Amino acid sequence: MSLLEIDNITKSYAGHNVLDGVSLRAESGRVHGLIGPNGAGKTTLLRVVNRIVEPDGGEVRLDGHSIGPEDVNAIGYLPEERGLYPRMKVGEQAVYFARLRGLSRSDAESAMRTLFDRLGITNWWDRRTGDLSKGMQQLVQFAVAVAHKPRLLILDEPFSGFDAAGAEKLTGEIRRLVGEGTAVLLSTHNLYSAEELCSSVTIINHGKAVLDGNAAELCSGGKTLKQIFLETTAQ
Amino acid sequence: MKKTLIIIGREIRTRLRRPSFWLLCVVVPVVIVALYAIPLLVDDPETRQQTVLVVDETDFFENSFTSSEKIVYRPAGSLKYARTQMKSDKHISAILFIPAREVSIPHDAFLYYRTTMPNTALQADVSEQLQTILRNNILLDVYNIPPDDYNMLMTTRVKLRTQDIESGREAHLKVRTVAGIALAALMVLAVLMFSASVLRGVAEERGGRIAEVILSSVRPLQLLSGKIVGIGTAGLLQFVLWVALAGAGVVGVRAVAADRFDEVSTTVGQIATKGAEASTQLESTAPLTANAELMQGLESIDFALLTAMFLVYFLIGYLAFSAMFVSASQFSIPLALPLVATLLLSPLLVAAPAGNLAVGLSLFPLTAPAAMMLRLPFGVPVWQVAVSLLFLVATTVFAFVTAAKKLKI
Repeated sequence: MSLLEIDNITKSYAGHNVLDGVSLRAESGRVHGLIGPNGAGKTTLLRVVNRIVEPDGGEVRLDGHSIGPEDVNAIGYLPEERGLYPRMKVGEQAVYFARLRGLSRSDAESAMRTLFDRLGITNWWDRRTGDLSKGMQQLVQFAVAVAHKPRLLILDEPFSGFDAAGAEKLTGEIRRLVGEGTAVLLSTHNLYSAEELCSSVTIINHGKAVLDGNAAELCSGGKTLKQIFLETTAQ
Repeated sequence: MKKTLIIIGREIRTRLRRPSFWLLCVVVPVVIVALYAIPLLVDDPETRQQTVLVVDETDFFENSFTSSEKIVYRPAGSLKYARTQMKSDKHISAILFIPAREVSIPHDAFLYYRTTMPNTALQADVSEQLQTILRNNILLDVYNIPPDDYNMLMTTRVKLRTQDIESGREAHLKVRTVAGIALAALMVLAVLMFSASVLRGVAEERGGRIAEVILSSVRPLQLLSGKIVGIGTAGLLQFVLWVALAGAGVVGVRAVAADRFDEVSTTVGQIATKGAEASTQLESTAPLTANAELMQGLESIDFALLTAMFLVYFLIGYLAFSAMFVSASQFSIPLALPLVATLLLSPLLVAAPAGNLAVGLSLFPLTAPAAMMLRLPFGVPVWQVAVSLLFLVATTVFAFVTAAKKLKI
């Protein structure tokens, strides 16, 4: 059984169908790619899974049960746009968000210090968040998303704002988490990263899942993920 | 609940760390104390004696002016002589010139100054003495009534006392009116100021996409409750500090300059009663009577009940208006208008505190916090308070649910 099951999700705004019956599965210890052009509905789908947006129809299940408020601690979320308080200090802010994910103060601080150490950003702890660059803030935001050891990690355009070294560091961390059994739902424009990381993909276009399957099988005919993507989203 | 407490803690800590929070904590009481102490700084009659040269062409007033420690009246003979004296002597504050007219009773006078205008206390004293001398002379010369008899006549009053027929307690309507308006003004100021802070706090999260991260961890209602309670607690702490520091400052100023304050209040009392037909005796007794009445009026008010009701209406009103502002931020001004309008209507409401308008406004949730404060000092039936609170609580719950939905992206 898949850790995350998304079945027939629909959502419309002002008569416009943003999601039109999208379904997908994400397994523990694997990365599932969510790929689509701008405005395809990727971010809305991720917000539905995070319970930030109420769907009009369909169901999201985690571990076989309909997802509810009690599941938030099992999910980690890295949104596309940065969501950090610019005036707060980095360490204090990271601990605050970890506590909102259910960790005690001491556990949150300990987890964050360990994570900061591994990411090589310990010296940012007492810096003001607003003083960090976009890429640095993205790394802090990633730490915030994973400190509570979520079983499902949702990443929305995680590589935006990173230079090559930063992107490599992030890729390594994602691989490490997957190795520990975390299910990752990765939404990205970066098809090379998707090809490198994803075991399975769902290509979404105009709110509909137009292709869904195992990445290796999809590419078995010699086509790259990029070619498949361009063909399926050509219309 | 735990997550709400975490959000409350962050909101309080964030505000307490801002230098502007502590700056305001100090600046506001300093301004209040400074405003209170201004009468001390404006003028100091202890050190500044003023001289008025009197040129009376009518011979009606001369020698009848009574000098005091602060204001000395000196006859000057002619206006020309007085002008010369004024130029050479800087202690002469003004020349009082009463010109001779064809009519037998003088009806106008001039107070000439040079460079610096005479202060209000001096003008009040001159005006008062002119009226008293004129009236006493007319009473004696024309009607043959001794001034003392007139004073006795004028101080004889019928005191109308408004009392409860059962308990015999005085109504003290004026004191209740002032208490009601003051409480309503404080309520409107506090509710709107605190609610606007919440709106700014929520805007910070919406603008920076922080809400998206938080809402993936907590429910919208938890975020909203945390922000409103946290900001409210920080604001309340600031408010308590203002009251405590300003109170301590005022007490300190009074202790340091007690004598000076007595003089200033006497002067103010004289200026206030200047226009009335008050004799010297009446002037000295009127403020005492007023003070005694004020004290009795204040004692007749149940301040414990008023304070408790103020806190209840403030807390629910703050929650309601904060949530309403968040759920309809673009309509925050129209939402605040009824509360402000109630304050503007306060003269009408305190004139008829049990009238239809007052009762209606005290039940309507958008006006209840202010209208009820205006009415409470006069006494409000318990069922009206209960219905008013019920409507206000229902509005608060509705506003919270709406605002929580609005917070969802």
